[in-house]
Amino acid sequence: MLHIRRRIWLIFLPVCLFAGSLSAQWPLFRTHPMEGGAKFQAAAAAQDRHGWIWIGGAAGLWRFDGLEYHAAALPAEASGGVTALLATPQRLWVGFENGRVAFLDLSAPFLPQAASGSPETPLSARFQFWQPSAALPMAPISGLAEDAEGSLWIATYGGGLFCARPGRAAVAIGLPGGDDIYAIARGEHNQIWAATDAGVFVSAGDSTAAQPRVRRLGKADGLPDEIVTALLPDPAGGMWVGTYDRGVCRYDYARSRFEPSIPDWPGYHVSALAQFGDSDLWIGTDGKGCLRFDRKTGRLHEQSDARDRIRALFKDREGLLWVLSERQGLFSAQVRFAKTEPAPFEVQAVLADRRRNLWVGGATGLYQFTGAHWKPVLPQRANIISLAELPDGRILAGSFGEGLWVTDPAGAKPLRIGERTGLRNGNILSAAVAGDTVWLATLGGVQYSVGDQWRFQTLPELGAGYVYKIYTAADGRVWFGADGLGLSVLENGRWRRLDPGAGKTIKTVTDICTDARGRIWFIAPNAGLWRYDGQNFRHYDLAEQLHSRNILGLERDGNGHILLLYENGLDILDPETNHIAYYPAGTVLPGFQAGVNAHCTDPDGHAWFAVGAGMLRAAAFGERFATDPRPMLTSVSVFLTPVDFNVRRSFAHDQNYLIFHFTGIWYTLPESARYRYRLEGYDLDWKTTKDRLASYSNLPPGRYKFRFQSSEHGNFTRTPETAYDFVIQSPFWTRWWFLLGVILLGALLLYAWVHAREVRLQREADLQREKAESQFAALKSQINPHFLFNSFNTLIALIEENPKAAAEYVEHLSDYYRAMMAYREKDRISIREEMELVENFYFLLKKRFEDNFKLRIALEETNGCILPLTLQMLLENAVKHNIISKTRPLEVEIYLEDKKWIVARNNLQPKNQPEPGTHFGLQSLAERYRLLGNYAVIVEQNDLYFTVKVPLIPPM
Amino acid sequence: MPIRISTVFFLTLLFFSGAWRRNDSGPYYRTSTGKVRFVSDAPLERIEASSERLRGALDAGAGNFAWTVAIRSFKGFNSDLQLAHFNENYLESVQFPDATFEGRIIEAIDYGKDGAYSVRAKGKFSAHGRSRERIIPGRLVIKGNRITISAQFSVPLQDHDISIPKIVHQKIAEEIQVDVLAELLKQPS
Repeated sequence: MLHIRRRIWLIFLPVCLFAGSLSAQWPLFRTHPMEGGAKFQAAAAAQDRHGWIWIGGAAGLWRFDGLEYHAAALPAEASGGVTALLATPQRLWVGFENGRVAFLDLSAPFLPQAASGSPETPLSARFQFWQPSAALPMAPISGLAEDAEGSLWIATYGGGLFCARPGRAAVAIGLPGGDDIYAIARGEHNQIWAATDAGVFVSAGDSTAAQPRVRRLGKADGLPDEIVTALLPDPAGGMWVGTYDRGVCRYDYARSRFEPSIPDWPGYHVSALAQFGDSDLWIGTDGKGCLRFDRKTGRLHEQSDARDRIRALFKDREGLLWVLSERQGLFSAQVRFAKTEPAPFEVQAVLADRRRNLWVGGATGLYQFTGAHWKPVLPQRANIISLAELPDGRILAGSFGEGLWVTDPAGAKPLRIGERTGLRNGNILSAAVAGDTVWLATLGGVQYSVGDQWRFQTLPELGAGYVYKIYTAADGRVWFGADGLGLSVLENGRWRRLDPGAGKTIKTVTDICTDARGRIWFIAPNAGLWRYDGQNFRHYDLAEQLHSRNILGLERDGNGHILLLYENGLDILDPETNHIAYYPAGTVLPGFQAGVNAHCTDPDGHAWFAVGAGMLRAAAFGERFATDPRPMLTSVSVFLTPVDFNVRRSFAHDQNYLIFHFTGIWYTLPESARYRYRLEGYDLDWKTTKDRLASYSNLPPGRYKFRFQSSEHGNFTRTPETAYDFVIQSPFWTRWWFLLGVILLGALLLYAWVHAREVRLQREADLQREKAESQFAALKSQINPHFLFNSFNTLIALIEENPKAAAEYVEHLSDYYRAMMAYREKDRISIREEMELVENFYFLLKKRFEDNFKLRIALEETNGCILPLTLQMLLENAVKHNIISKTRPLEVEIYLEDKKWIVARNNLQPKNQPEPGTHFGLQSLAERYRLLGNYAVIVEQNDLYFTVKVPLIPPM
Repeated sequence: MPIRISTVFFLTLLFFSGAWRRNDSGPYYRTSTGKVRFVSDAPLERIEASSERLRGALDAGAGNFAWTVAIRSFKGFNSDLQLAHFNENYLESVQFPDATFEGRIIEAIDYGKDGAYSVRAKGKFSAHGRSRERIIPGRLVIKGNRITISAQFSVPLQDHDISIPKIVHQKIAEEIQVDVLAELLKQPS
């Protein structure tokens, strides 16, 4: 695993020394070394649709975020170095040295980063082996391209060209003499171009043929060298072709021919190409670093003395040029900004004329800058501080103290106009031309002259005031920026001063320009920027993200942007959106210290600023580049465990500690990116941070939206935003279905309880009633006239025969009634108590039936109980329903069975005339036992015996 | 002895270079007395050495070629010590006895026609055991059954992992200029 430390080395590649014919102008290259100087021998680079830059090399594949390299985990089949990359909207294709191809699916909204955000962990992004590549030869993949139909074209170095139509196997395309393909590109008409040793092969662009046809372009088509090593489609049409020995030329589709190659090519071997706007073509060479070809001026600019082999060049969405060099690794540069070679003097005035000549004024004279040399124009020393161009191309050079110089385009001696030849004052701070009128701001006031007469008049309104700037607008108005009188305008011969009013006065204006809508922009020393639209003034201050109030100069470039120069940096303001981006010198721009208000825009729209002893070119390529970091979510962790956040959007109630890692893809100045985030549903306001993570603990259940924005310098008004929606589920016990279930269950239980209670109460009521009925029945039976009659008859007989026994009988009768009274109220009584009753009753019966009735009791000790009067009732029933005579005595046995039952059994000798009493007593007894607890009273009857088994019930 | 090793190596190289495998292999040309000269032009010292034992073969039909020269065959230098350093420290000629270049000529030329041709030869240039793909421009003069080949090119030491101690940094150039001149004779088929 490679250790990559967060470190950026800024290096300033010095001027090349060896190429005298080449001019030098260089942007600031930043190197992006790997930790420990690890050599990744970068061979290919691509920017995917998310904006990530991928770098492939001999040691693998990395995603680079501007600060750190994250190694990608590649499929095992595709081992070895990465030699080609292709980013399409859906996939990132990777070609390998062993001839295999892999891809990464980019269709998910985010591409997760390393799990912990640590660079040591490989990317979790899953690269898949592309199966059809198993059939390719084992030659390094040198390029990949996709055509309009989605066919993948695979160029190999040594194995020729292949084309895989969607869903079909790759077919080989024969290129005679062209097995070594250096580059592949998609040109116009859906044609695929392949660069080889035998010229260029171009596919027919038809999608139907299974075996695509190709034709060869070579010397006969104007190709200067048939070893073609680089290809680049020109966005304006055409194809740039880099050759081994003869530089670069362009193929013209309309003429079906190659145009002549670029002039004065120093013989380097071209290896890579990149294009910016319609003016700048960057050329990577095999061993001699990079060059920039300015198509407008036809000049080649050497870019560095890094005489290394350039393996690839590419342009990213921010307008950065990326350089992959074999030994020195990866570089990037904001190539919009380039500084010229230092002049031997301080630059005080700059002018680009209509023929793209650059005129430069310094303390020693006027010079023409050729890109490499400063060619003096004036025959003598002059301190040139202002410049302007006449409609016929002559240059006006205003000096300090020595009047005005007018150059002659034919090369004749320049004309000098001094105080003796019509000029009122020879100190010219600013010069401007409107039509045939020349305007000069001198220390003696504003002077103007019409035509070629050079007879100057003074504009009286401005008096002898100090005028810093005269600006002649395209609509014919002349604007003045003066010390003391602020902003004023001369319109249709009428001069007037303009002030914001409302108590605000702008005393001093040092520089003026207009935007595309004709609005006036001007600056005041230490007071920021103003805009005047003809009606209102608008002030731009630090709150509008102006870098500083101390603006040195302003210029409108070809993109329509207003460029504000500071001492060591540049603000670029888009007048349409008011978006301001700051580019600091030394980190994005080449280092400088600007002092003088001197600048211009050339016919191609590039702005030039004097920066010390040189000039800064701020190119306007006419391309829309990203102006703010692109916010990307890189990981979401729940309790520190990363989740697959492309899929996962819902979390349980206890998964409520979330950490979001995000980044702003901003290669221009990665460390300067600022972020703000807000968790909708939780945060009330935005939080601004420099850190690339946000953590939330104990999030309550709910719906959330994590929104975050990134900005290049902390102004979030128009910055892109990315959001991640997710839900933290409520715990199950707060969900509706669970609550509903609980309520239903409760209702059910309540119902069951109420129902059971009702049943119980009913049973109790029944028991009570039965008890009352049985008591009543028992009572009724005891005071039943038969019983009393029988008892009294017995008593009468006893009184006569044996008065003592009669007394005993009455005693027992009395005991019997007392016990009956005592026990009948009870719910249950013990066997012993019942037996007491039974014995008294038996005594009474014995006296009546003498030996004709027998009771046998066989009881063991038991604590079981029975209902009161049960046995008495059974005895009574036996007496009532059976014949009792001397010949047929009735015998009743009472005994315990299994310790569960008390049994009363009598021999069965039913009366012939059954007693009418029915079986009320037994039925009542059974019913009471049932109500008491589902006890059963068993009644058995056979030929011999009538048996009643009464269950023993536990005591109360 | 070193000569014999290099011969075996050379023949093997030729065999595997594919020169004789193609159907369209035409007449081939050979030499074993080609001249190689190299110059190291450093700020403090200029070193020259040369060998006249460059062996080469060219298959005129396919345009394939192979060249080899034994490192030990280089003579010259400014001192014997330099020669010893050259063999022992820099080129390590015991381990890597030969410098070779094998490949094909990119430009199609008619070998049957007398004349002078500028061509570029593309192939694997190998020295100090490290090979690199090179495209080397050369001049080819055909006269009867003789082909005279001359070429000038430079070899960056870094390309072949030849490291120069700091102490002699100013005495050895980072890029060595190489001149080759060889006369190949048509071989009876």
